[in-house]
Amino acid sequence: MAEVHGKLSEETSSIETKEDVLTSNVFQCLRYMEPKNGIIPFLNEVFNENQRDLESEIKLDPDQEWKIEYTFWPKGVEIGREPDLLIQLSSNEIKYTVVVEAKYKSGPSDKEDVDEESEKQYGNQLSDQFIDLLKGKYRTYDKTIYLECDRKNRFLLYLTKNSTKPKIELKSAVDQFQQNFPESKIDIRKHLLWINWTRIWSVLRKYPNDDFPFKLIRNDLISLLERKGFKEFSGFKVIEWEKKYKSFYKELWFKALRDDFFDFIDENPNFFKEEV
Amino acid sequence: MAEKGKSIIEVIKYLDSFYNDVGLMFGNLESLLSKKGFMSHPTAGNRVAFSYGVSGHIGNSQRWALKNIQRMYLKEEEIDSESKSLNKVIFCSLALYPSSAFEMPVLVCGVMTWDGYYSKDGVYNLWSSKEICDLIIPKNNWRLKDKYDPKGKRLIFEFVSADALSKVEKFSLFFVDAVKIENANYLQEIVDAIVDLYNDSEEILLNPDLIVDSIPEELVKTWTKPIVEDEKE
Repeated sequence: MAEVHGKLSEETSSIETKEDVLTSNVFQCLRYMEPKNGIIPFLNEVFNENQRDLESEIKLDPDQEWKIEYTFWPKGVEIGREPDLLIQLSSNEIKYTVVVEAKYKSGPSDKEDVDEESEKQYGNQLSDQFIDLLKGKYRTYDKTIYLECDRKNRFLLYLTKNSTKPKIELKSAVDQFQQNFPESKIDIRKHLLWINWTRIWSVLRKYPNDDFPFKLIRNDLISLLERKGFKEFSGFKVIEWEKKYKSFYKELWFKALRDDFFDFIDENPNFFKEEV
Repeated sequence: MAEKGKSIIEVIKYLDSFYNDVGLMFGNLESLLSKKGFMSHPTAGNRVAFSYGVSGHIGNSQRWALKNIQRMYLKEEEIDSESKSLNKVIFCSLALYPSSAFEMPVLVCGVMTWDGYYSKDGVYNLWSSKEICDLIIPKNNWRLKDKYDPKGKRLIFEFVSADALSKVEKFSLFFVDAVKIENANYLQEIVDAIVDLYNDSEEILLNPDLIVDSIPEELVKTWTKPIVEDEKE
């Protein structure tokens, strides 16, 4: 998918490439899954995590019929920023838009950009993307997208690997936006959300699915996230190691670490012999 | 010789996996603490080692692995506030010293309160100067008064500072056997207990299997004033 969008060209740095590949792999899988077992509970987790900042509680009904459109790497027309993903959700009753800016190993791509006419300072990636989101017009290589949902239902999601909210990065986006648009009717603090990759893992674990092919997609996605280290703590694997490497796990090893190693080996000449 | 090499590679794989688990544990712990309104201080402090950390220097090879992980947490509103001082923090420290007084990796969870206020910017220098991690090594009894004579099982100890730490009013903590923390549910219990400790709750509930109930005598000698009574048979 990332290749289809030209994200694996030689000019792209390896970190950016990894970020784009991860984003496309994860969200493509979510796209292939039933919304009620994938993207809807994940977005509910996002709203729940940021509940204290939201204007009012938001809970998407997983049993409702949702039409969901995913657009990878659209370009905002106003400022020209390229978020990783635009998710448009609509049901009979309501429409939501969530723009996702995903990070893996890097921080925000900020730059210094001053508008000479207005002397306004731009360049904060999240603040710029929020401006694009409010303007509601994006382009891809083959179409222009006009957001139809109400501005109060548009959210920018900062998806990172942090275990807790990266307050400094979020605050600097809020500060720049508020400085430029002090009169804005939309309060960026109530629309700039954060969550980490691990929560996708947690949501998937909560919603098992035995139906083909969703089970395979879900399991593949869980494996991918675990491989990247995005999972909850599940204990120290001492016992597993003991079973796997009988020759390794011996209390003696830890004594060896405490004592002078070479004296220890002299006193225990059979220490490295394999046990059957 | 091949077996010797294999064993060493196995140890290296084990350590990689162990540190990965430690990272997951702290990530999970911090996420649960943040749900209770506590954030790490400094806010952007994603590094666990501070200045007492890992070295890549060829002459410091004994410091190529982490020996101690120290984290400190404040209420979110305290982090946001302009105030430059604080008087209460949560801390969690994982001791991995081969010379630890404990026989297992111990997660030290506690709350420190200052008499008056302590500098918010300077507080983590306290950590890097090893004031806290050194307490697990039996060489600091000169700091303390009213040495405690151990009698039976004590779960939470209160540290009373001597002149060298005169600004510390109260320092309460409990020790968890880190290897017994099997999943996020156990971490949730630990976080609940830490927050109860922070809130001066009269009753602090924690799975007794997690608690280190055999405090090394050499360590107990350096501590004083147990605040939890012996378990009754």
